[in-house]
Amino acid sequence: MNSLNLLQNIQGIINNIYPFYSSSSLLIVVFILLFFINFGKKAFKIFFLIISFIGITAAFFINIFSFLKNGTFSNYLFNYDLVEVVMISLVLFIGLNLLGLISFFNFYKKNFNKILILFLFSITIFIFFIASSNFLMLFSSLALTIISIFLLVTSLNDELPYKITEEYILKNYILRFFLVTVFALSLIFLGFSFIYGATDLKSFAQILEAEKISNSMAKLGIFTLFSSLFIFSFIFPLQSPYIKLLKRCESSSAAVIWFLYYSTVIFLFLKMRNVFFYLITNSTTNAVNGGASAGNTANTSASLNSNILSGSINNIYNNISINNIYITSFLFFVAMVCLIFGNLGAVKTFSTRRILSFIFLVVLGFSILSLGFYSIGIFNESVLVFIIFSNLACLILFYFPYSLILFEIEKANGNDRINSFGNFSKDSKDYLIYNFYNSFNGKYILINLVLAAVSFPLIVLFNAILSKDGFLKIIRLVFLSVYTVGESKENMQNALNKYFSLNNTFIYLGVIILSVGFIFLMYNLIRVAILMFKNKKLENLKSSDKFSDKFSDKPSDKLGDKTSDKNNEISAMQPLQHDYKNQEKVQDNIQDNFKFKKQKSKKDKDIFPKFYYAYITIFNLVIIYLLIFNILQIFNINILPFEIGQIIGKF
Amino acid sequence: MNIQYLSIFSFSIALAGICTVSIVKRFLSIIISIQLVIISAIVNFYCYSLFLYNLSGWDKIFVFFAVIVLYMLLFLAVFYNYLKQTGIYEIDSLSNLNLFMCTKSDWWGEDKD
Repeated sequence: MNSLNLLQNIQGIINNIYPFYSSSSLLIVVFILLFFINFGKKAFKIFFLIISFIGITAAFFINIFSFLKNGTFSNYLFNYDLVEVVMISLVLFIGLNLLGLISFFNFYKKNFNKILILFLFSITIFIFFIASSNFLMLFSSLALTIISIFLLVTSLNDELPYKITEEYILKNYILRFFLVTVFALSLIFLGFSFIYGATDLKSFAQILEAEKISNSMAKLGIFTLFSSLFIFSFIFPLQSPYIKLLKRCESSSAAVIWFLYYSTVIFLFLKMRNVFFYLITNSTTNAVNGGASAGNTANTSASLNSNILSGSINNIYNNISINNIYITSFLFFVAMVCLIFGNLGAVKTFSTRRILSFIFLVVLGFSILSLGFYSIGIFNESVLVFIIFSNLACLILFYFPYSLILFEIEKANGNDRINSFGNFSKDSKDYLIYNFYNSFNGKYILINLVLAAVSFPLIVLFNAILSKDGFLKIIRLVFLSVYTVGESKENMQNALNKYFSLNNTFIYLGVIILSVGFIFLMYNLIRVAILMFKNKKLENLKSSDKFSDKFSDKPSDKLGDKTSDKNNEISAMQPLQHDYKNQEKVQDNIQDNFKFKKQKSKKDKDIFPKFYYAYITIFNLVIIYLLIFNILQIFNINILPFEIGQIIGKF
Repeated sequence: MNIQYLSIFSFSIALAGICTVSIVKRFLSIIISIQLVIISAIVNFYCYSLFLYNLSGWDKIFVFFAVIVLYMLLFLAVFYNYLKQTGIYEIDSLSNLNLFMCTKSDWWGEDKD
């Protein structure tokens, strides 16, 4: 009887903690690991790693299956629906990949166990943030997520083999980055105070239901919130702290900022998405018809779709309306700045970290561009949410293997300049890299990089215009003359009268921005892949006469440029290199780690572990599969086991 | 004291905080500027609660939790700064931390700083 009561009590507790099964499982893992936090032996570190991996994997499956079993959940503080399930799944998938990345680069650190516990804790808090709906819960969990990311980044950047001055510079850039975040958080706090003054309501859903958003103070609050989101995301022209930190920080902490920090920003926007949709659709300027008729974007999109299918051009143009011209203009402008300046910044630099950081902002620019396309009625809310998710998923699929290769080569090479990769001295480590470049494995990596570099921008392009529907709409609207073949003369005339309307200008502008951004992005990614492997053998032969001169401990001597002045200049640009020989403050365990890697590399004649190849291949296959899926969607061929439109409709 | 004076007061504090945070470059000045924005939000909450919502309890709970987490983050930043001190006044206290300062290298070319 007692055991029955106990079971009933346990079942009651389990029922009460829904929808936090995934975060509870992670908290249990954290609790178990706390007992072993001070055990620094290798066996305990492996134990930590395995338990963390099991915990995150279990949380991933529990999250999905519990939702399928119990369905949606909503109360005063939390909301758990399909969008939240997708967000949590994405975060847990990011967590699995980050776990690997953190382990690769920090396994031999003394604080490895603490880092893993902080990492698991930050994912747990993140799940709370995703599920929160009330302002109180939203703000507290958001701030706690940022705190845990701050602690994680600072821990990852601890115990590095840097000189004191380099460590000091890094500390300043970490502080600068997170002070901007604190400032954005305080602005969010201020925004909530305005909203409270205007409405006395406690969540975005309540404000929209009560239709109190038209109040000027509520608008001020919403404006403050979106401004803080802009500051949060370090979009141009506020990119300085982000770019500077990413250039210098420890490798895995760069991935933490890309995927944990930026996921927070993207999910915060998704939490405010209904407010954004309301602002877009309920302050309409119908530019095409010159009237002020209010338009509902969802209806507009639906009717647009039917008109395109029925082939009536006049109807297409009559139904597309610009929703709030100021917001639309702003969105297109920000997207343009992100795409153009992000790509330009990446074109000019040889630092792989800077290139990846800029390209991340470019992909954010693609997402912002899709917001602009939404505001002119190309697609509806569900599609927009789907696009934002798929952009994030593509970033995860592309960035993890790509950055892993680049970080590992950077570690072996001593700096992150792509034009210096594979300029070799007689150092055995350099010979290993040289052998790698000329081996089958090196060529395999190159092929993978090029394939990913071609596929990734194409998928992002498809995402931005949403494969079939968006693609066809834009193509038909842009190439009007082609489409009008077979139309009556009157219809053609009417359509052409609207040819240079404001709405059409936005469509053309969007397509131009999209095309330029896409071409630039593809160029940048292929450039990285090609530069890494370009003429390495030839350069080696040319420089072989100077081998004895070049062999030096100074990082600048390995850069391989023609003049020593140039080398010195470049060296000055590399303030924080992993200079293992001249370091003043090296931890013993880091030394051991380096020696271990070196010995292993000598034996295997390979700079990557075997696991890397499987990892890179799997991710690349998924990217290529997605690309083929997107292309076939245009021709109405579905290669997925389910209909993608049905999934989109549920968002 | 009425709602107008308090609103103007809090709005001016917020503006002062936002303006100074984008200008100043010392760590302490930035922390103080951020606190001005936080104080402005707190004044707003109490002002609206007092004059509009008959001293409701929700705002106090919100302010309590929000201030705890915000100050925890600020404290962590200060503590991290303290832990990584070099002991040289010129380096520790006079470093440029301007949050929104952009150099040419942030847009174009290599990072020379």
